[in-house]
Amino acid sequence: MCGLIAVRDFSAASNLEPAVQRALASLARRGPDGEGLATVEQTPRTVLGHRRLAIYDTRTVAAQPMVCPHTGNSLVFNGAIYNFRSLRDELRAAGCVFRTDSDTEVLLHGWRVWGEELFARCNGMWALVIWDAASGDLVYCRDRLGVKPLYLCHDGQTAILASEISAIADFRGGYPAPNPEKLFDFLVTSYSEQSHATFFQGIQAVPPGQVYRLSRTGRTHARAYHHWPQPGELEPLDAEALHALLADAVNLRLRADVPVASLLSGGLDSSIITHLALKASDSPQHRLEGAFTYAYREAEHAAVDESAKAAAFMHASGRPDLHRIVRFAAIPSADELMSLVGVQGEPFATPSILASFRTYRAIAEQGFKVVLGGEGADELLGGYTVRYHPLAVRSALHQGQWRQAARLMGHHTFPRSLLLNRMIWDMPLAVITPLLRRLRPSVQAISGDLWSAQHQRMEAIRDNARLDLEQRLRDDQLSSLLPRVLRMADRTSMDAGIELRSPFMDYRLVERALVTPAAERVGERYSKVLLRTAFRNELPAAVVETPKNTGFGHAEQFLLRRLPWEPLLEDLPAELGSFIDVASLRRRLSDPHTEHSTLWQALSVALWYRRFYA
Amino acid sequence: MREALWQRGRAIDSGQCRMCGTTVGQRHFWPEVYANSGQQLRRCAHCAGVYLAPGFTEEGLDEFYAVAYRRLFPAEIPWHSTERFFRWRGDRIIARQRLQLIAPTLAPGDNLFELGPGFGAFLAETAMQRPDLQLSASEPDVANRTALLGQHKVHFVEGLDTLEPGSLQGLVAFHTLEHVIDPLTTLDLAARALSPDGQLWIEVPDLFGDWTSRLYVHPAHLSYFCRDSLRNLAMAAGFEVLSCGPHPLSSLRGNLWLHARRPAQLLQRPLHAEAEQVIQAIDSRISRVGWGARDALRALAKRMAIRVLGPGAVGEWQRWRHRQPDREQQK
Repeated sequence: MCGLIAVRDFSAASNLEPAVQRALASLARRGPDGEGLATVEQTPRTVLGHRRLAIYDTRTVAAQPMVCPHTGNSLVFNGAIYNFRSLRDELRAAGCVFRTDSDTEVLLHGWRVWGEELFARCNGMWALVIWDAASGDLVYCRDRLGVKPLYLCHDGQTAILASEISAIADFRGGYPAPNPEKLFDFLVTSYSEQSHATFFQGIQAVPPGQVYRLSRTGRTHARAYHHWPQPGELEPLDAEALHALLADAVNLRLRADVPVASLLSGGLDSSIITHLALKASDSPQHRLEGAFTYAYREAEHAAVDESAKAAAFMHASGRPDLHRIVRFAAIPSADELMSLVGVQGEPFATPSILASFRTYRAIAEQGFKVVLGGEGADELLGGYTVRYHPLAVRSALHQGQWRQAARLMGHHTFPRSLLLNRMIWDMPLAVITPLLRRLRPSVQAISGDLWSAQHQRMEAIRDNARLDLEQRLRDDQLSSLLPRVLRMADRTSMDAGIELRSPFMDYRLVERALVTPAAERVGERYSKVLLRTAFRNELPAAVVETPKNTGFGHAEQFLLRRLPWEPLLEDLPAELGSFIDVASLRRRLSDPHTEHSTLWQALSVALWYRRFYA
Repeated sequence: MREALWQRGRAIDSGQCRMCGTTVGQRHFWPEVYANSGQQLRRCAHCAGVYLAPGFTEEGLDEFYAVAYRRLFPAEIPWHSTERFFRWRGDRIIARQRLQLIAPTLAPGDNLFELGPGFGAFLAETAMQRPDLQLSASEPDVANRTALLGQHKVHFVEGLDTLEPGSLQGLVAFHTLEHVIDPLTTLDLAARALSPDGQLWIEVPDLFGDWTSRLYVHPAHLSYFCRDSLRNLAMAAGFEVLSCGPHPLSSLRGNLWLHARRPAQLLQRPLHAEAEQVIQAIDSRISRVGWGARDALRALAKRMAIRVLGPGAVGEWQRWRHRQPDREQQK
């Protein structure tokens, strides 16, 4: 887990290294344990830079950029290859000799021996750049889901790859202009990951699951090293297979040369992860040493405070000594809120991530560097009843299955208004568009300029909103919800120098889940029915049978009006008016009926603009 | 919802220019409306490349041509009379005219390669007029590639990448470059396959031609070239461009014609930055093409006609309408 930058310059510009050093400084929080730089002494000039968070083999011999003694290839890498030991065994059998106990060196040898076939063998999360000495190509690649970030900015003269946008901005000497298409999509839908464009013009997220090569003459080639299966291509999950895959995923992710903790909200996903990690703990480098729960100081939030439930779980697990509760006031100060905005780097969909932002910092202060979390379970296994159950009803209605629709409605797992909300997307755009403009708070806050320039995008947004349940889960997993979650989680964890590992993101599990019918994953009365079934015999009923209704940061999500927005919306640059109607935003935030609403998206854009353009 | 005629096999949209790979300055114009493929017309402010994004994967492109191409473009389907089909298309006449431009520069015994010969009219004409040349070609449409070639001897290969470096003295690509996923790599491979002093001739539709409808942009044409961007591509592949501009044949008005030479020392380099005036001119050209009720009705009428009459009849009507008097006179 680290931060990286790679720059290839095709012009005759001056020394690149000072600018790369400057950019690396902005990645310091991602890698507090060391810094390295390697310059390729060939044209075009190429520099690789790295900030290290030492997890596997913490000695300096495993530092980066790491150079292959046989080929001269250089590697910078952010992430973790969980199966690096078994890959190393294969490479040893092929004659490779290792100097370190790190996954970085396995990647370097693996690239020499297997070339692009290396990546399909890896189980992990990664963003990496290799300077391939033989071809002179700059090779870059992200893991299958894009858990680890990598951004590209290429202006024809200089190509910059970096873990965060801030490093690109520091290298170039400023942030590019906002991307109006992205802002529009975000304000309408709250999603921003449906394409690989970012909120900054000209900066793209590198698509996951591909190997890219940037040649010495500026040619870019891409090749997919992985494809996600369609139903029928693999065997669907059952409870037993899900249990086994998840247990192995946790087992793989527990190994580290630094202390490992888990995030324990008290809900289903984090309890399963903690439970499996406790069961698998068997040696100093393979042991769960802490479980952290976020809680509130104020009694008024007792209803959404799950710390007692988490404590009971740890007690029942026989390891109450590992449990740590970190308590905070729900409402952040203006400084803390702006700190989160700066860490995120782009507008984000919910203020609830304040909870994990704070928790990771608290965990780091207690000496932990690796955290196991439950990210991805809700998207993969259908955890959002209010999102998925109305879609199941809508699908039944579309197919004329009235009894089925009535039965699903009878479970009362979502407010009935949500069904209307989904059905509206079946109407013509001429109806949908004005309704959204009139009723959805974040759309009301879109400036007239942005609306005029971008409202033709409603057609694509409407098409996406019409996906059925099966398509919705796949899209959520691969294109919209999960990528959004991953971006937010990476920034908040790495800000604290914490490597977040998510067993639900194990590609073997994801592949099998994607070919499992949505209805079997989601269920009718509860969410994530398959997951509940898989662990019903091992976990307390209070964990397995409780519907999902809270989670980290639940209170923050619903206290929008009480956030310290007033001083932060003062003295905003006039140019923000091209995107947001700030007066309207202020007025709506002052409305006593505004609590949990999409208005956060508009506020998030305003705060982002203040942080990066004011 | 819009009726999507083809949305399969698309590549991931990395946000990079198809020609030069830059991410900065990619302007989005409008969505492709011929097939409602989900692609978008874009322009690169660095190299002046104009392209549909996302493109296709290799497998996706194969599937597109195997399954969708003739369904989307009924003018490519013979109807009742193959002879009339080719006569109205004018393939042989055009082939003869192209050969007149090329043949004088080729020496006896030269190896001439055609990338994407389609029905084989140019190869047939060349074989008849220049039996001294060695002919080879690459055409994925195996079923139709000999339709006009007859019994003439041509060595077909899988692709440019299978050719021996320096094995060709001439290479032609008529209306091919706009179809390929990666035009620059195609030109790189062409340069590699040509011997020093080997010659390249390319013909592509001209972005500055007289098209007036967004239906001109469709998923079969992934890239759209102007004189500057085509020259830029050829130079980046290492070619010395001898000429590049509007087609010298009046019958091929609206197309570009590039003639280039492979120098002894092949030096590939990145695409250079085009002048701002070029970019502005492209923006202005594309922005002039609107989409109104009349366009939508035209598209709808065509779709309905194909449904009611079948693609064969519609294609026949299109060929009859577009047949050129000079081609007819030369029958």
